[in-house]
Amino acid sequence: MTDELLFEVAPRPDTRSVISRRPPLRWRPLLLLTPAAVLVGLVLVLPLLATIVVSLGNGGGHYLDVLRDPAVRHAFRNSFGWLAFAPVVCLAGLALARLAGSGRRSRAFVIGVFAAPVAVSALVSGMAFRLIFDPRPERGTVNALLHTELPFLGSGWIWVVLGSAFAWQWVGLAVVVFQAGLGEIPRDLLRVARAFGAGRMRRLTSVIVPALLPVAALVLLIVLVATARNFEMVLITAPGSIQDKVDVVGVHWWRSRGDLGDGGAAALAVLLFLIVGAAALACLWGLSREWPSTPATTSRPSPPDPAAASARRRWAVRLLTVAAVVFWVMPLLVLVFTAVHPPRAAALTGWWHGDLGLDSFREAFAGGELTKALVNTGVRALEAAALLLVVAVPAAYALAWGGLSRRSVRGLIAVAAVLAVTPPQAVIVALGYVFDHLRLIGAPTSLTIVQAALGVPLAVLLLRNAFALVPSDEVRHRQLEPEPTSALLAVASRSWPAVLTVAVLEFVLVWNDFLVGLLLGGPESGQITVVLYEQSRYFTTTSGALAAGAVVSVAIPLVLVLATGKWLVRGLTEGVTR
Amino acid sequence: MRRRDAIRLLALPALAAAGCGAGRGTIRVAVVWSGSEFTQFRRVLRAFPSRDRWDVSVLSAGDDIAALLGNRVAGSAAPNVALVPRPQLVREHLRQLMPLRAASPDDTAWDRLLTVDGQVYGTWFKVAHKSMVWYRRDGLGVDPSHWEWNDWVAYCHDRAGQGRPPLAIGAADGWVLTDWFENVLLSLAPAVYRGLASGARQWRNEHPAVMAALTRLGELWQIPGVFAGGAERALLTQFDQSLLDVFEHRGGAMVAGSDFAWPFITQYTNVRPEEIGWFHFPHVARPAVLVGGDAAVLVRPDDKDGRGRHLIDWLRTAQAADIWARTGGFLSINQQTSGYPPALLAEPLLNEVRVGSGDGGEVTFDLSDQLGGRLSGGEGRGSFKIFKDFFADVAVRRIDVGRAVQRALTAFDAAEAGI
Repeated sequence: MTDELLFEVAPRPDTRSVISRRPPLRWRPLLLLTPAAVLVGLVLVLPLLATIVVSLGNGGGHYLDVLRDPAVRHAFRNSFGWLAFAPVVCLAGLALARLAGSGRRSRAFVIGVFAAPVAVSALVSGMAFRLIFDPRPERGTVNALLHTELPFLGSGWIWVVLGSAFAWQWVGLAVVVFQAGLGEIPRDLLRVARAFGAGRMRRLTSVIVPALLPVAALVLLIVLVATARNFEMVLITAPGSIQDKVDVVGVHWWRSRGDLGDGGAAALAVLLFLIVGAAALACLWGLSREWPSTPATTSRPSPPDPAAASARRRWAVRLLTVAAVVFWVMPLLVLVFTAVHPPRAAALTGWWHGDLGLDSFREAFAGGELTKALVNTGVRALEAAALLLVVAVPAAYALAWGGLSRRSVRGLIAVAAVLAVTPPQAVIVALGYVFDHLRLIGAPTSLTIVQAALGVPLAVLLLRNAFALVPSDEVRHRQLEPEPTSALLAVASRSWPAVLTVAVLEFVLVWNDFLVGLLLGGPESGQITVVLYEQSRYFTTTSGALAAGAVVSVAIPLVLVLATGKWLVRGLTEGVTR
Repeated sequence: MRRRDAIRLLALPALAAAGCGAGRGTIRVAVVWSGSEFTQFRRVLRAFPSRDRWDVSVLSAGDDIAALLGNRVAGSAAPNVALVPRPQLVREHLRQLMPLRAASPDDTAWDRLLTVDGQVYGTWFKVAHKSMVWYRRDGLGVDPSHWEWNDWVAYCHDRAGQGRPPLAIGAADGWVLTDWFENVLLSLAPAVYRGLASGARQWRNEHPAVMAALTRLGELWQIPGVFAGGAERALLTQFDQSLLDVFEHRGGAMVAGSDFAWPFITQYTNVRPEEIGWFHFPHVARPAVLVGGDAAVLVRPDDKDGRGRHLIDWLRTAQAADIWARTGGFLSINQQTSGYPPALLAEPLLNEVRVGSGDGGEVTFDLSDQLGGRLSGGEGRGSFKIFKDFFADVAVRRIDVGRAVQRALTAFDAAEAGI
C-alpha cells in the first residue's frame, strides 16, 4: 500500500519529481495559503507583535518589574503547577485506555462516558465541582458521603477540587486518543519483540512507548494548552477569599492589568505566550518523530489477548469500570439534579434532597438573556466553524500537497503550532484597541472573525496531517486536471473525518469560550458562558438557576460530540496514528 | 464596598465617542446589576408608561468588567441612560454626561453629591443603608436596639462562651469585610474616613485611626467560637450563604449586612417576615451611617426627543420606586415611596439614609468603592485581599491582633505606594 511510514507526519510525497514536472504551479500553494495567512496575520500575528513591542517599551524594564512582583511570581508558580499537571492527566488517560482495551464496544463506551466532558465548558465543569465539594454537608456531596466537614474550597483542598474538575474534563480525551493509538500498534512488532526475549518492561519501553509517542505528544499538546488557558474554572470554583491563592498568570493579567500598567501587562502576556509556545514546540518535536518503518499491511488492530484475562481480573476491571463511570457521570448528574430543584431547595439542600420542580429553569430563562445568549452563541459558533473551514482547508492542502519544500512546510508547521497555543491575553489588548476605533466591539461579526482566527492554526495542523495520508496517485493525476480545485476537493472529501472533526471542534470551542467573549465581546455579545458567570455572584442562592442554565448550555455541544464521537477520534488521530 | 466598579470604565468613556447612538425608538439603559437585582430593575422598566413610544433595552455591564481596562461598550450599544454606583464617576466622566438641571438652594445632601459647577448631573434611583445587623427575633434573647460596640462584643463573648456561635459572616466576599471596617472607622474617625475616601488623606499618615479600627475588629473576630461553623468555613462563605446560616440553618444569631439582605432572607429561607429583625450597626464612638446608591445619569448625546431624560424622570417617581420597594432590598429617597414590606420597618432606615450621618447631614459613601490603584477592590486583590488576610490572620490563624494589625498596615502602605 501507500503507507510506507507508519507514524510519520512529515510530508509524504516525494516532491522533487513532481516539481520538475509542473514548475509553473509554484504560485498556487501561496494563493491557497493566503486567506489563512491574512486572517491569522491580522488577528494573531500583528496584535502579538504589538504586544511584544509594548512589553519592550521600557528596555526590558517591564519584565524585571513584573517578575519582581511577588503576586506575579505566585501566579507563575501556580501556572507551572498546572503545566506539570498536564502529563499526569495524560498518564491517567493512558492507564485507563490500557484498562479499557480497544474492542469496538469498549470504544463506543469510552467515547460515551469518558470523552463527554470534553464538550463541557470549563466554567460549567468548575460549577459542578463546586457544588460537589461544597464544604457544608447539607449541600456538598462529598462531605455528605464522608460524614465530614472538610473545608473543601479552602486554600489547601481547593487544589483537589480544581484538579478533579480539570482531570474530569480532559482525561477522557487522552483515553480516547490513546485507545486509538494502542489499537494501532502492529502485533507483528510485539511478537517479534517477544520472540527476541524482550520482557514486559522492555516491550513497553522499546515498542509501546515509541509507538505512542506521536499520539502522546498530540494529547499532551491539547492538555497543555488547556492548562495554560485555565481561567474561568479558577474564577468560578474558588470563593473570592481563595482567589489570590489559586491565581494563575492568565487570571492575574486580567485582574491586575491596571496595577501592572500597559507595559507590565504586555510583558506578562508575552511571558505566558513564551511558556506555552515552548511547551508546544516540545510537543511538536514529539509529534514529528519518525518511527522505524514496517510494512503497513501488517498494521492491524491487535485483538485483546483472551487467555490473559483471568476471571478474577475481569471482575476487578468491571468493578473499576463501574467506579470510573460513576465518577465520570456524577458531575453532570449533580448539575441535572440541582437544576430540577426549585431555587430555594437548591440553595438550602443538596441535590439529593428537597422538592423537585422546574422553577430553576423558569428563573434562569426569565430575563431572556439566556435565550438570547444561546442563540447568539450558537450562531457565532456555526459561523466561526464555517469560516474556519473555508480558510483552513486550502491552507492545509497547500501544506500537504502544494509542492512546498520540506523545509518551508516544517517551518510553517512550527509557526502554526506556536500560534495554535497563543493565549488570548497576548493579542486581546491590541485587538480591543483596534476594535474600539473601528467601533466593532460587541458586533457579532468581529467576535466571530477572532474566534475563527484563533482556531485556524490548530485546524491547519490537524487537516494537514490527514490530507498528507491520502494516497498520492489519487492526488497527482487530479492536480494535472484543468479544474484547479479538483484535487483539493478530492483530498478534502477523502479526509472527511478530519474536516468534520475540525468543524465540530471549532463549534465546541467557540460555544464554550469564555475569555474572548468576556474580553472582547462586551455585555451585548451574549456569550453563554459569560452570561452564566455574571449570574454566579452569589453562588449558593443562584445554584438552582445556574445549574439549569448550565444544563441547557451543555446539552447542545454534548449531543454534537456524542453524535460525531466515532469520527472525531478518527479525525483527531489520523496522520498521527494510522 | 460591593461589586460593580464596572460602569466607570465600561459604559461612560466610550459612550461619547460612539457616533451611532441607540437604535431607532429604543432607550438603552446600562446597569451594573445582575441576578435578582437585574430582574427587579427589569420589572421597574416594564411599567415605564412611555413604552409605547420607545422600547427599553437594558444591559448588564456585569461585575468584574472593570478589570478589563481596554474594554468598552460597543459604539452601537451606547446607552442613553446609565445607573452608576458611585457619585465620583460623575465627576470623572463629566464630559460624557448631560446635566439634568441647575443646582438650587433646596438641594439635599444627596443632590449635592451629583452636583458639579452648579449643575446637577443625576438622580438617585436606589439607595442602600449599609450600617445594619440582621438577626432572628427569637434567637437573641435580649433587645439589641441600643447596643453600642462594647455591648455587642460582650454579648458575643458570652454567647460564644456557651458554645452558641453569635455571628455568621460572609468573609468570602471582600466587600463584606470592608463594610465591617468602614462602619467601625466611620464611627471612630469620620474625618479620617472622608479624607481617605476623597484621596485628601493617605493611609500611611493615618495609622493611628486605621489601627484603632482594625484592633476593634480583630478583638471581636478573634473571640473563640464567635462564627457559625468556625472561622475557616466563614472564610469560604459568601454573603447570601451567611444569611441562610442565620435564618434557615440557625447556625448563628446575627449577620451584618445592608438592606439588600431582605430579599435573600425572604426568598430563600422559610422564616416568617415578622421574625426578621435588624438593629443599627453598633457604634464604637459616634453614631454613623454608611450608605450606597445608584444614580441615573444621562449620557451624551441624548436624542432630540429627549427619551433618556424621559426615562430618568420616570425613575425619579414613587411609582417606579414602589415596584422594587415591595420586594425589599431597595430604598428610595423619594418620600412618596410607600411600598416597603411592612415587616422591614423601613422608616428609621429611610430617615437615617435621607439625612445622612449625624454630623452636618453628610452622606457618607462606601470607602472601598472609592479607592483607586492597587488599593481598589475586586476579589483576590487590593483592599479586599488586605482585609481577607487580616480576617484569616486573626480569626483562622489566630495570631496576635497587634501583629495582624501591623501586617495589614504594611500592606496598605505598600499598596498605596504602588509596590
